[in-house]
Amino acid sequence: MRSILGWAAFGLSAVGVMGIAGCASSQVPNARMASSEAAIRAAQETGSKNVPQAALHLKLAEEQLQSAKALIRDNDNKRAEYVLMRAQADAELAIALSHVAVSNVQAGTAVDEARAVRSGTPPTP
Amino acid sequence: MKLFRTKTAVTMTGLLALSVVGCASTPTPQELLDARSAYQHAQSGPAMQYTPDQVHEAKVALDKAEQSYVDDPGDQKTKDLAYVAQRRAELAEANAANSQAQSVKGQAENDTKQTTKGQLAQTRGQLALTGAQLGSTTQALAGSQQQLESEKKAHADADKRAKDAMDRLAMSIGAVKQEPRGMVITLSGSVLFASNKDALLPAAQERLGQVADALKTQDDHKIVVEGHTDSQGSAASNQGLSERRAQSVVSFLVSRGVPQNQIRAEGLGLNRPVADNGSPEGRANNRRVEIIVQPVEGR
Repeated sequence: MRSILGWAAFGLSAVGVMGIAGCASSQVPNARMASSEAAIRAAQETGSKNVPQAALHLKLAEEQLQSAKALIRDNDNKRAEYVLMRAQADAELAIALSHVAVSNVQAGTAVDEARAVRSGTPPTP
Repeated sequence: MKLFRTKTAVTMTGLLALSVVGCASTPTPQELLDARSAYQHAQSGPAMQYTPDQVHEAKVALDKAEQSYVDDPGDQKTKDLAYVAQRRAELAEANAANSQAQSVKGQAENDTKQTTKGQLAQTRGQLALTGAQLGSTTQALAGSQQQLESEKKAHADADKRAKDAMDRLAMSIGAVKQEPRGMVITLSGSVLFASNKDALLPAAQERLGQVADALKTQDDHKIVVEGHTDSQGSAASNQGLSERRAQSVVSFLVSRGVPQNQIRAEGLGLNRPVADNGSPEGRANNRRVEIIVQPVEGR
C-alpha cells in the first residue's frame, strides 16, 4: 500500500511538473518558420509598405519573426511556434490591406470614368 | 510516515488540479476581448456576404483561443491564439472590402460599357437619319431639277408655238414686226372700221379671227391693243374714238378665246402718228390699231 501511494505521488508529480513547465524542448518549428517568412516576403512584394495600415501589420510581422528566431535560439520552440503564427497572421492581413488599397483606387477610377462617359466629357487622365 | 506520505500525495494532486483547471479568478486577457470584438464586427458586416468562409475560419480560431482560456486562463498560448483569431477576423473584413471594391469597379465598368454602347447606337441612329435625310434631299433636288428641266422645255415649246403662230400670222396679214416693246401687229383702221365708227366691219372679223388664233398661243404674254387716229378733228374726239376702237378689238379677241386677264385696250388718239398727216396716204397709215404682244419678264 505504501509502495502504491508512493508511485502514485511520484507519477502525479511528474505530470504536474510537465504541465507547469511545458514542452520547452519540442522540435524547431521549421514549417511554421517557412510559411511565416513566405507570407512576409509576399507582403513586402505587394507594396504593403506604401499603405499605412498594411505597413503597420508588416512591421509587426517582421518584429515577431525576429522574436521567434530569438526564442528558437533560446530553445523555446513551442513559444516560438505561436509567435510565428502571429507573424504569419499579421503578414497575411498586410497583403489583404494592400490589395484593398489598390482595388479602392481602381474602383474610384472606374466610377469617375463611368460618370464622365455618362455626362459626355472625357475622363481626366 | 504514513501520514506524511498521504499528505504529500494530497498536496501533489492539488497542484495538478490547479495546473489543469487554472485560476478561475484570472481576468480575461485583452487579446481575447479584442478577438471577440473583431469577430463580432466581422460577423455583422459585409464579410458575411463576401467572405463567409473566412469569417468561419476566424470563428474556428476564436474557439481555439476560448478553449485555451478555459483550459488554462493564464497561459500565454491563449493570448497568442486570440491574437491570431483577431487577425483572422480582420483578414475576413479586409478581403470583403476588397471584393466590395472590385464589385463597384465591375459595376462602373459595366455602366461605362452600357453607356458607350447606348451612345454608339444613338450616333449610328443619327447617322442613319442624316443619311436618309440626305437621300431624300438628293431625291428632291433631282426631282426639282427634273421639274425645272420639264418647265424649261414646256416654256421652250410654248415659245416655239407662239413664234410659229406669229410667223404664220405675219405670212397671212403681213404687218408683224419685232420691236423692243414686243411683237407688234399693225392693222389698218380702214380695214377694221368705217369712218368715225367704232364697230368692226364684217370683213375685219376674219382677219381678227386669225389674229385671235395667234394670240391664244401667247401664254403668259401681256397683250395691249392700241387705238390710233389721224389728226383730223379734235384731239378729244380722236382720243375717244381711239379708245372705243381699241376696246372693240379687245372685245372681239376675247370673244374668240383670248383670255380677258391677259389683254387690255388703250386709246392714244392722234398722239403717236407713224406718217405725215398732211397727205391722204399718211393719214390712212396713222389710222390704225396696233396689237403689242409684250415680252415676258425673266424669259
